[in-house]
Amino acid sequence: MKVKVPNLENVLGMLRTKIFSWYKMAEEPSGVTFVQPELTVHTFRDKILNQDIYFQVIKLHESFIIWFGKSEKLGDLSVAMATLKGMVSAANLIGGMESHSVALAERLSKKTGKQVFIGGDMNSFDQLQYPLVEKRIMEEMTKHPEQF
Amino acid sequence: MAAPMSNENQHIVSSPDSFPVRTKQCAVEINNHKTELLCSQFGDRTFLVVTQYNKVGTLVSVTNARVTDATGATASMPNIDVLMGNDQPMTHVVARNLITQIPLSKPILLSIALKDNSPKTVKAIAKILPTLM
Repeated sequence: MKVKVPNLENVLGMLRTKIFSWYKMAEEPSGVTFVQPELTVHTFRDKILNQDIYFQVIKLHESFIIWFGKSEKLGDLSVAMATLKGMVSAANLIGGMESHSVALAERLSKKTGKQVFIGGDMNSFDQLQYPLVEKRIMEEMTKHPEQF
Repeated sequence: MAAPMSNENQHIVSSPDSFPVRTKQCAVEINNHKTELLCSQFGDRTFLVVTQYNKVGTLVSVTNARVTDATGATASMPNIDVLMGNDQPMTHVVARNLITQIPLSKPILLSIALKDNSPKTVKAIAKILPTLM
């Protein structure tokens, strides 16, 4: 009786492919699944003193980041947060301490009790526009409180 | 929470085209930690948020430093500045690894708040970040 001997090469080849696929499976970053984002990005625009101004609000946990500008420039960045009762401390991160973003962050943080980041190309605004921009942000806060 | 999804491009949320700054975001579960990733393309900077606490955490500025060696050959190297938060060697290591896949054509403003600093997690995040550019 003749017994069919399996080709050794074939068996080895199959084994190799099997081991390679196991190895590949192990190399895949485990447990990376896409889920629904929780951070919300809210954008709006308005004409202030005949100029288009764009606003973007990123809502985070107990904090938010507001950017506003006339162009796509990030510009300055400041942060403010409530510390003790009624006290707010603010600091500039990009742009210099005399940047208008510091004072604005301070006021918004006092109002909301949250950590506030303000970004914007402050040099592109004139003196008359700052209070109007701030008013517009306050308006949006009362209109869409869930976005802040 | 949404069901696990397959194609990553379907799960990237983008800001409206009419807005001058393009913002893309997504969220992934890595090693049982929900990780929020967000990228805003400003004209002068790329703003990246990598967070597992939904907070800003540590803010890092990454700029491209041109280094010239003794032979006159120049190489570009990321220069990392901690603007806010804990300035520890680990922060620099994580920041450097996160931006490996991202071109340093303009400075990057990076917010990092990770519960899990393991190389596996950081590498997985670094792989996803370019899809938000």
